This record gives sequence, structure tokens and C-alpha cells, in this order.
Amino acid sequence: MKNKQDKTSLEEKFYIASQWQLMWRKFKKHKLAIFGGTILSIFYFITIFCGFFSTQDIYKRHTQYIYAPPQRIHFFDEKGFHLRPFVYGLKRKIDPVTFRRTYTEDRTKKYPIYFFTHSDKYRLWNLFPTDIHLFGVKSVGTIFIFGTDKLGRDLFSRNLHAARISLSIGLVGVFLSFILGCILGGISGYFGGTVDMVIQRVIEFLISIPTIPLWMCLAAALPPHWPPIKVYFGITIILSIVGWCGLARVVRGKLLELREEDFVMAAKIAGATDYRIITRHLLPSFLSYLIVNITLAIPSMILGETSLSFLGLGLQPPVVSWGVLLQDAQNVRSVALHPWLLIPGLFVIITVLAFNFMGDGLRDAADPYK
Amino acid sequence: MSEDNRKALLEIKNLKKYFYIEKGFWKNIVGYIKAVDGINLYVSKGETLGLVGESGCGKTTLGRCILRAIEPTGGEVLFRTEEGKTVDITQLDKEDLRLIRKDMQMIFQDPYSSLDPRMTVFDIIGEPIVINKIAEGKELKDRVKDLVKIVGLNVKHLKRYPHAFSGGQRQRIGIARALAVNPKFVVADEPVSALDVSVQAQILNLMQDLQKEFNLTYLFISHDLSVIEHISDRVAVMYVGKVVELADTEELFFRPKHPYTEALLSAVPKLDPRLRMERIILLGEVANPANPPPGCYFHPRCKYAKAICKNVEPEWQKVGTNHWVACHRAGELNLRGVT
Amino acid sequence: MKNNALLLEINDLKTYFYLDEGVLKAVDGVSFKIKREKTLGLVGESGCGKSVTAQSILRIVPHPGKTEGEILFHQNNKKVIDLARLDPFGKEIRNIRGNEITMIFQEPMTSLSPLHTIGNQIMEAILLHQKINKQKARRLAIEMLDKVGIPIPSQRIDEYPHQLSGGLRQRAMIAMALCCKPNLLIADEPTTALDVTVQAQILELMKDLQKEFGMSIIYITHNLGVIAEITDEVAVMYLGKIVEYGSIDEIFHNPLHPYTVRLLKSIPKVGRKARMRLESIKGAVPLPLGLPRGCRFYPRCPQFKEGLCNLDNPPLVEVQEKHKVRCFLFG
Repeated sequence: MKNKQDKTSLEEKFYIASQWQLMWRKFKKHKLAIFGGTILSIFYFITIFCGFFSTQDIYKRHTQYIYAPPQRIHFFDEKGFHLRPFVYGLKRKIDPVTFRRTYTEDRTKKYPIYFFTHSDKYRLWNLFPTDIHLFGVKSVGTIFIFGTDKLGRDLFSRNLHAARISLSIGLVGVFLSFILGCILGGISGYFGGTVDMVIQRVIEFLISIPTIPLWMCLAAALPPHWPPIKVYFGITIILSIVGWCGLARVVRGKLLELREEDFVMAAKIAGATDYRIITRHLLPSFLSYLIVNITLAIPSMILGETSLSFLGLGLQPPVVSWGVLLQDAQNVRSVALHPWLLIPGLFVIITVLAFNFMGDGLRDAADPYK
Repeated sequence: MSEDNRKALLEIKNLKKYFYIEKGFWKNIVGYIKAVDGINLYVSKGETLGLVGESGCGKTTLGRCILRAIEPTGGEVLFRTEEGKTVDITQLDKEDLRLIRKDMQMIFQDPYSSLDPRMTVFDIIGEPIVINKIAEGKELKDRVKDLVKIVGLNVKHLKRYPHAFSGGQRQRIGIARALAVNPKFVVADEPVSALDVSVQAQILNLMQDLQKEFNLTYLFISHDLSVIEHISDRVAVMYVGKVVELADTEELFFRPKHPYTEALLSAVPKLDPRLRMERIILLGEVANPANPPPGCYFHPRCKYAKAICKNVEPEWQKVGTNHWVACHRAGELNLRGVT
Repeated sequence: MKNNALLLEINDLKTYFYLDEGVLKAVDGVSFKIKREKTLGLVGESGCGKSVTAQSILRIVPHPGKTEGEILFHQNNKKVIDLARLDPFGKEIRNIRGNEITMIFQEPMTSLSPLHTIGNQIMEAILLHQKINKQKARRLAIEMLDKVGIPIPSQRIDEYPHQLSGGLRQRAMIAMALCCKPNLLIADEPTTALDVTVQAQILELMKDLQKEFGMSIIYITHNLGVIAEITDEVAVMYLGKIVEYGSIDEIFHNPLHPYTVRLLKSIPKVGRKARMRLESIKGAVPLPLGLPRGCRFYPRCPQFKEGLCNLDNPPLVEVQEKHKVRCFLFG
């Protein structure tokens, strides 16, 4: 009997589940999407506290360690297992003919890794000065998990800081295109007629321009003396100039489709005003589709920023983004000799895939009533 | 108003709705579809007028034009308000239209798309009450609860969303929403065609009970002749945007005067294998409303057609008490009704 | 071929869909027989499993569905094969599908390809199963289109499905289904989307063609009027089971199962003068998921007996010759 009661209350829960609850139920079933979502949450969490998670200051040069390879984290030494992980020091050798530096592990120097260590000072969110890092080694040693670049800067820390710029530029850019897309797509779909035709033609024109040359033109127009923060917003605006078109089309199409639904007519006959119909019926109905489209638009923003910066037209050093970091990997020689310079590319791929997985799951869940 | 329809709650005069066919980049108008083409009807208080016709004949468009859910192209829709004033719905401005809609509501065909899936039953039924500021707070709750009881749903289920309900129950929710503002006149657009056979009867019975209880007037639109016969006091038969015959239900079913009505009646499958009889099989299909034939629209399919039918549009003529028909040969033909 | 010879024999057919929410028993132990040149009607409301039964016969049940039981098909050469044992993607069933057993659907637009002319599609069906050349196939296609009453078939053959009206499209579907002279035609609600006057035309056409081609028909519909018009025997289905099975006359004039009785009473009939209330069946058809024990109909049945109907599932018993019913009130 109790079993039966449980079952009915479960059913009742399903019956009184709102759209978002139903979407969440459906989304949960999509394993790959949950996986992508988890990865992204971890990434975004780390970027929020990137100063804390990185091991040192991103501008600090270790002139003794130029192009140092990633240091491996060890648990075993000649004496066996240690609970506390450690890294070995690096021994540098310079080839007298080619001047090529090679590094080998110096087994005599052992730097244990400590958690919550005090090291380089930084300001958390540019507000709170602190020097606590998640992990690190005592100041006599070095730890370069992802190696160093041509100036001997720690790439692990630089990658984390780059993630902050690259991941946020996707969000900000999409936010801008979301606003543009909603307003222009909404006007286009709701009023129709000439306005609709003009907007649609503009969209078609914008979409027909090859994106990379367009971005290049616009980026070249950004004044070179702008401070990095201005450039950052300049780039997001450039990216969203093309990005809004797709969203505007989705908004317009959904609006046209929903306008014909019977429940909209029912509201009209009940005496609802246009404002009420839009805010109570139309907007909630296509919000879920918008979220899907936004999720799928973010990776193209991230890729756009990366390609622009890679080409030297986007963000410029000293700002770090994944694209800026990848600038160092532009020639075959450095890639061949220092493959760890490509690690930012790996992050870009993982992020874009994770967004696509999540978007895929959201798309399946977007209409839980089918 | 004319003599026959002094008690009319609603009178439609020469109502027209044309849809324009646009083509090309500049949306040039290359033609139009006469979905509703000069219709005259009246509906008396407390009766059910059945509107029957095949797909594309314009019956749904007519229903929506009456409520001005879509804008008619021309004609008048005269509605008698409670104070005894007669207003032309087609001439009302936005605000007056909103007010008059309290008296006129609609029940939709598709129980799935007519309820917003993102609102609870309470919000759906309560929406017209809130919009028209009829009640709020506890009063609103009581009113919605009453409505739910009236249409035979469980009061406990008010917090549920539409996806929790079957087609028949959803249709009950739709009916409750239509009744929320105490309308006088309800357009029911194929309210049972999307439902299972065993549920159809429940909804038809409910609609009849409600009509008695609240003295409702129905315009009942359907393609199903047996449903139409069951629920209507009078029936109008539509063909390609025009009403071709209008009569009291019994009169129309047993003594049809238009060949199209005769053919429709004959085409309905009888619920009795012993009555398999020779049917009148109409040739071809319903005329294209964008390019209707000259003369009487029905003449290419009509076995009684004569030369005059091909050239001259038939007039709307009275052939008996409450019986009108648009056919040149109405006087001479002896047509077969239901046997 | 002589009359009264058996064509198809279905024994204890079960098609279950294994979903996340549980096992959906769409068809649950259905048995019936069809004789040559006869028409069997499968009638029921949404979710009763009538369409899935048809899909099971052709072995085209969509993905999570699994079919068990026996589907014995008597071929012209007196061989009997069990369709339920064939590989649904194998050569044998493909030889039967579209050739000896064919199917027409409710919405012809979804089963005709919009990219090919109707002539091409009919010819493809002919060439797939018959060893003749293209010219001959085309001539055969025109002949078929003529037989199903499409005007000027030599012109219409080169038109695309969207150029035809609903009724003509359904006629083209029928032409395609009959071009290989099948022994069994499964018609799944072929007139539901059509207007009554066109429905009457199609029903008449199917009757004529049945006489001419001598095929058996399984006619699936929810419309009892159409059943009365066209079938010889009827199986009334409710939630995956046949609840009543008998000759057309018995079902309409001596219905026994409470469901059939109520169903017939709940339909408004043309020509009944008094506007009385309709008798309705309470409740709605539930989803066939996690059904309670006992008779499938008991929660809606007015003659429900506590302690009997809710405990066991009644067997299908023969109460008269050619009349079986699944109810504890009988047998």
C-alpha cells in the first residue's frame, strides 16, 4: 500500500512539474551533456579564482628557465612512495653550437608541493590583496606544470588567466548578440512588413560576408593606443556584429510560429493586451530555445577571439588569452621544439566540445512537451 | 434586423474575408482566396447553430472573423449586448473590442496547442478573469474552483500543468477558460474532432448541460455531420466560402434542398452494416477557393447541373419556414435525405 | 485460389516497447485469422495497439519495440512462413514487404517521397519486385493509376505528390500498394485525413479493387462507421488486447463486451430524431504503461465486479460461432 502511495506522489510531482523542471529531467538523461556541463562548471569556477589556482605571478620571468618543459609531479623517488607529491629541480644545458637549451630533471633537488602556500602577491578580483595559492613549492624551487615560454614565464598560471579572458569574452559577446538578436529579431517577427524585410536583408548581407576578413577589417580599425580593457570590449562588439544574425533569425522564426498557436489566440480572445501576450506567453515559450542557441553560439565567439588574437589582430600582450598564448606557437620550429606551447589549443578544443555537448543536451530538453 | 431574426443575438451581414496571395520579392498581390465570401447568418439567443463543411470551406475562418480574432475584409457582425444595444463588432476600437469579448468566447479544436504548456491549470482558467479584472485573491480562487467543478475536473489538480491531462480533460480546461468570463455566445471550433470516440460523447454532453445551465448560445463548427445533427438546432452548410443551405436540423437532414447537402449526407458512413446502400459518389474534389469555377461553385461536381449553373451564381432563396438555399434548381429537385 | 483459404494467422502476438519509464505493452497477446479476399477491421481508440499490430506484421516496428509470437503467412505456393521469425532487415521479409503484403497510410504526403514523381515511385516498386523493363513498368504504372481513378494518368504520372490533391494522393498511394498485386493490403486509417465526400470515393474504390485483385485487407481505423461500411469481420481492440472479435453483423447488432456496447452507444448517429443525451464511457484511455492487474477495461467499466475483474485478466472465449469476447460476463 505504501508503495502505491509513493508511486502516486511521484506521478503528482511530474504533473505539477514546471517547464524548467521537466527540462532538467530530460537534460539529466543526456550523459554527454552532463559531462560537458560539469567540465564547463569546473573551468568557469577556476577562472573566477584564477589567481588562487595559479602557482605564481604571470608576468614573473624566470630567466634561468626559458622554454622549460613541463615538470612532472612525482609520488615515488628512490626511497619509494611519498604521500606528499614533489617535483624535481631542472638542470639546464646549452648546446655551444646551436645555443639550444635542454633541460633534464635534477634528481638531487626535490621540492615538495604544499597546499595553501604563500607566494607571489595578487589581488583577488582586483579587490582583495592576498598571496595565498592553492598549491606551490617553497620559494627556493620552481614548479612549471605546463612549462615556460620564451621569457621564462609560467605557462600554467598564464593559461588559467588566459581562460578568464577567453571564456568571459564568449559570454559577454553572446550577451551583446543576445540583446541585439532579441530586439531586432523581435521587431522583425512581431511587426513584419517592410521593417521585417529590411532587417532580413541586412542579416543576409552580414552573413554573406566572410567572417575572418570582416573581423580583420574591424579589428584593424581599433585604435592601437587603446588600453587593453577597451580593446577587450572592442573585440566583443566586433564578434557580436556577426553573432546576432543567427539569434535574430531564431527569435523571428519562433515568434512567427508561436503567434499562430491557439493558446495565443485564446489569450487574445480573453482580452489580453499585446504586452501581456508577449511577456506571459511568447517570451517564456521561446526562452528555452534562446538558451540553446546561446549555448551553441558561445563556442563560435571563443573560436573567433582565439583566431583573431592568434593572427595578432585581437587582444595584444600583455593581456593574456588563449589566442594570445597561441601566438607563440605560430612557427613550426617552436611547435616542434616546445610542444607545450600548444596546450592553450587543447583548452580551446575541450571548451568548444563541452559547449557543443551541453548545447546538444539542452536542445533535446528545450521542448519537454514533445 | 429582419423579421425572421428579431430575437437574434448575433447577425452576420455580407461578411467577407479574403486572403491575399503574395508572390515574389516585392510581395505583389497576384490573387486572393475568398475564404469567407459574403455570408449572411443569424444566431438566436440560446440556440446552437451548426456550421458544417469540408476542409478549406472557410468555416474556421468564419468563426474567427466573428470574434475578430482575425480581421474580416468586409461586412457587418451585429451583436446584441445585454443592455439591448446592437453593436457592429467589425467597427469597434481596441478597447471596446476587449470589453465585448467578455460576452463572446471560443473553444478550440486542438486541446494540445490551445493550452499554454507553461501555465498551471489555475493560471490558464484564471487568466481571462484576471485580465478582465473580474475577481482577484480569494474570490479568484473560488471562481476558478467553481469553474473546474462545473466542467467536471478534480479541484485538487489545479496546480498541475496541461501535460498531466488527457485530450478530453484538456478540452474541459479549454471550456472552463471560455466560461470564465460568463460569455453569452461561444464559438466552438471542432471541439470534439481531436478526441477519442468514447471521450467525444462526454464533451458533447458537457456542452449541452452547460448550454442549459448558463443559457449559452453556440456556433458549433464541425466537419462531422453526425455530431452536428446531434447538437444543433439549426444547421448551415458551407461550400467554398459560401453558405449553400440553412435550415432547422431535422428539415435539413430529412429534406435537403441543395445537391451538396444531399451528397454529404449520403457520404457519411452508416453505423449499421445492414444499411450498406448505394451512395451518391461525388466526382472530383472541393473547388480551389483561389480559383473557383464560374457560376455555382458546386456545378462541376453536381449531377443535376444545367447550363444556367455554369454561368450564373445562384441566389439565396427561401424555400420553407426557416429554410434557405442557394441553388437554381431548388424548386424542382426532389433530393434524398437521411433514410 | 479458392475462397475461404487461410491467408494470415496471428497467434499470441506481443510487441513491447522497452522504454526508460517501463515496458509499454502496445500489443499484448493478439490472435486473429484472415481468409483470402476478406476484409478484417481493426478498430479501437488511440493507444489500443492497432497500428503497432500492422507494423508488427510487416516487421517495421520502430526502435525500442520487440515482437514475439507467431505470424503465419500462407504464400501462393502453399508455403507457410512465420514472419515473426524473419530478420526485420533481411532479404526474405523485404521480398514480402511491398510485394505480397503492402500498406497504405493515413497521410500519403509523409509516405510518398516529395522529390520523385509518383510515376517514378510506382515504377520503383514494380521494378524492385518484378523482372520487367522500364517501358513495361511505366505502362503498368499508368494502367494502375487509371484503375485507381486518377484522371489523365499518362500526364499525372509525371507529377510530384505536392501537385496532387489529398484524395488523388491517397489514390496514388493505393496504386503504388497494388501494383505488385499483393495478397494482403494493410490500410492504416487511409481516409481519416480526408473529407467525407472523398472518403466515400476512396472506400468505394477499395471495395472495387478488392473484387478485381482478390486481395485481403486489414482495415485499421477508429471510425466505426467506416468499419460498418467495408469490413467482413471486426476485432475491437482496447489497450493492446482484442476485447471482442466477430462478424460485422454480430458486432453491430449483438455487441457483448461492455466496451463495444458503450462505444457504439457513445457515437451520435445521423438520422436519429430525438436529441437525447449520448451515453459516454467515463474516464479516458490510459497509457499502456504500468497497467493494473485484471481486465484492462475495468476502471472504466460500468459492469465491473469487485474481486473478479480487478484480479484476473479474462480469457477470450467463443460465445457463438464467429463471435469471441474477452469478459467475465460471458463464458
